[in-house]
Amino acid sequence: MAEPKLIEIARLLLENTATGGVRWEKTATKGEFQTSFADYAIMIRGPSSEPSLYLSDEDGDIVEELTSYDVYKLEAENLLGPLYEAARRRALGADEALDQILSILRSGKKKA
Amino acid sequence: MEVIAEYHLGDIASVVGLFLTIGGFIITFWQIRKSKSAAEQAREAAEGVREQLLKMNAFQGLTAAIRSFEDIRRLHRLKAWQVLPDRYTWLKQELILIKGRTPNLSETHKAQIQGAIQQVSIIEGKVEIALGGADEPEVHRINSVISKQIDQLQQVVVDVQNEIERPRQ
Repeated sequence: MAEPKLIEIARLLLENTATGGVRWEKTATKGEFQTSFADYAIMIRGPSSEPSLYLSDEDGDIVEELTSYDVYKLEAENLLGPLYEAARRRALGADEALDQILSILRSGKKKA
Repeated sequence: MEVIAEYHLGDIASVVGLFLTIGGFIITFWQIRKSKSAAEQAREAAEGVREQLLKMNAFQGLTAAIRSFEDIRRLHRLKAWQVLPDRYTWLKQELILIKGRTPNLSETHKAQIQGAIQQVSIIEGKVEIALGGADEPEVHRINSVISKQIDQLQQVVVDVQNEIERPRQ
């Protein structure tokens, strides 16, 4: 049974995404983001209400999958939604955009 | 014989012989070490040349992979879906080979190459589905991903090139 390990991976991804240790990028599929390792890649696919996590091997074939249903079964339903949101924000650079705009607006406010 | 006995020349000869033996042993030992060290140096030099050759292969492979990405991007614009699956297959195989054969490739570079392989797989899946009669992929979306992979691989090429020019000691 791979779900406990996948849930552990999802938890660590969430922690590492929050600290900036994991880099996400968008894929050719709308609402999907990926992070890659030396021999594997992980994708998370939305919508944020029901995201799924996929693990692919070196050839790009999907070898494991964790759906919202799997997570719900294991009473960890609040894991994939926050991870999806964190991955999306990292991949699209949402935080950097907000920080830059805030910085500009704050400096303008100071000058005024 | 009496002289030899009187002056203990036999004992002196034994002592001198012992010192000569020890000296000979030290010289032999030193020569063995020296030849071993030379053999090790030759082996290390050969290993260094092999690593440099593999890095040069990686450099050429990555450059070819970038050209292939650019070619695929053009074919996407032309919507030449029929010819694309073979290009994706070649590109993925090339990237897997580069990742597996290049010595001292950092985990970050390996992850970037693996990310590129995964992105190609996702696009390949979309094109295969389209060839089966489903909707065509959105060209601007898939080409945006391709362009980003080109930029990232270009950085790997620069780093590999720097390692070729300034090999680690």
